[in-house]
Amino acid sequence: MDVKQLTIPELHQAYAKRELTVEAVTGAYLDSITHTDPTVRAFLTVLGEQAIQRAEVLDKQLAAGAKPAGLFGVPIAIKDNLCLAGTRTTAASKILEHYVAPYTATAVQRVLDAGAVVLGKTNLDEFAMGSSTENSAYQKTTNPWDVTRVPGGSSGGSAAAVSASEALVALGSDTGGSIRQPASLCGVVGLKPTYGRVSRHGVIALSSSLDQVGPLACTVSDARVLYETIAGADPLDATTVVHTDDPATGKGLMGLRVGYLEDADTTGMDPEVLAQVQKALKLLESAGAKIQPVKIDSVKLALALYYVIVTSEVSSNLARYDGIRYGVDMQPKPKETFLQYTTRIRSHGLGMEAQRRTLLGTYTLSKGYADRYYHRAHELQGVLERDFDAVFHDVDLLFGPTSPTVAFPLGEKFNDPLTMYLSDIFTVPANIANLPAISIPIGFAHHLPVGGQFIGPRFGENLVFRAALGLEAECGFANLRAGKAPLHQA
Amino acid sequence: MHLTDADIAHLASLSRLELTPPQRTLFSEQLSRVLDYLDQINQGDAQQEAATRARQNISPSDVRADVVVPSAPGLIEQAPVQEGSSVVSPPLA
Repeated sequence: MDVKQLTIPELHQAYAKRELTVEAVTGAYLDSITHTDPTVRAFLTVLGEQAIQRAEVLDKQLAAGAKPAGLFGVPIAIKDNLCLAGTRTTAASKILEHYVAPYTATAVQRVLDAGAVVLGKTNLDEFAMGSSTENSAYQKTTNPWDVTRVPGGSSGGSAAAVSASEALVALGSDTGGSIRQPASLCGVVGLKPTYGRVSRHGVIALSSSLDQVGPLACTVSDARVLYETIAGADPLDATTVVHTDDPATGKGLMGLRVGYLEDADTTGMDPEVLAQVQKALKLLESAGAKIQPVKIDSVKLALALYYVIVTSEVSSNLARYDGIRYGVDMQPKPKETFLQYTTRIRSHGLGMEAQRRTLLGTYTLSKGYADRYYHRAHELQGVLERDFDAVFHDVDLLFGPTSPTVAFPLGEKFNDPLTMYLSDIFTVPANIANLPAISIPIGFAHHLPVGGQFIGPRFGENLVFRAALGLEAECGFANLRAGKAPLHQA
Repeated sequence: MHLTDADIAHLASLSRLELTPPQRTLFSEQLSRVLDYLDQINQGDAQQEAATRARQNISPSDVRADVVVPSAPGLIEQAPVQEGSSVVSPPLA
């Protein structure tokens, strides 16, 4: 038995029957990291010794009669923009190269409290800015399905780690698609919860009004276990709220009203990806869902207003990296002024994309342009929210592609920021309209995984999981791992 | 919208960034293209009436009490140089 193929319920069953120990399972994943990560390069920090020590503690609890539940004994990878006390937390930036987090993010604390074993911290685009994980200051993660291609981003390390069986589940963060797009490109499940569901305390901020932490896993059910562990109000993040108005009514796909955007911009979309999405819509229909076209005019503006809001918030959030309080430590030159010193530190420590977005955000917030860009974008965000809300009177959920293409070759879009930004065209609307959205594997194109995305009404995570679980069963890609695709499908 | 070399130099100064001439040229070209794309929020169909944001209403009972509590220990210790509970800046001109 390859223990790395077990889902959370299967793992718990094996623990309960004493067929496996947490130490053995943790060891198997650490071995996998040793063998696979030199090629995949998903991890920035591996916490092998700590993981084994933690596993030993959990095994003692099992021996004392503990019943495995929650995330007990589940090996997990954590995106390196989430703080874990006493551990280097870099956000893949040189400016935080030596930063050791003095506290633990709420989402991470909750997975620890639920019994998870943290294997390490995963690579990302610097400060989560990117769609390919190539913007990391440390290494380029590869796609486990084809190591000449990107894993997507910015949670590319987390998605690749799960896909390559280097972790059973992982935490990522999603500001414009940073969980769902890499999940799609790596053939795993990824959820962006509604803004306010999961605490951002201890998340290194990219865009504070949009950032949200969420799960990556190989099955919808495992993603749900992780999501339910981290969700909930937190006194340390005033934007989190308690919402109980999400009844899990019904099961399966029968009777669900699923809309698809009939005039979605498919320019630049791979026809084979589109064909897989259409095939999934037929599967939904044959399983009893009612498919209907919907129209949202404002959705075509989502990407533009997303990049205005994000770059504006980036220029503000990254202003704190001045080298004085934490992070990189450089000696001042003789007669260097404060301004010269912080400018030199920032220019040395921030990568190209971080600098590009800071410049753009400084522009969109500057006098004379803030009304034209930043304030206008916020007005249009309200329009987009209103239009999505109206559509959810007619349909229960929306379904469509997660990414316009399969995983693209490393370097292909690296020097063309606008083309890279267009990778997010199908994911950003859910962030801008503040809606929960999940990506699950629905098929293959060019022998690479294709993800499909359900978007639900605000705080409608239960409904999103219900639909995703139904489609997962129809597609037959539950527990998909890189290199282990069903032959008839790949 | 075209951002000139001088525009980029000004933005870099405001952003506390030092750019080389080739970097300024590159950012001028790239950011001008991106701004052209972003400008669609000010064109044609985008000129519709603004809508009120549908953010969740947060009542006072949802937010934590406004009371002073001790800070997380170790935050000050992150600074390269500290003195007591203060962060010490390196000597600068």
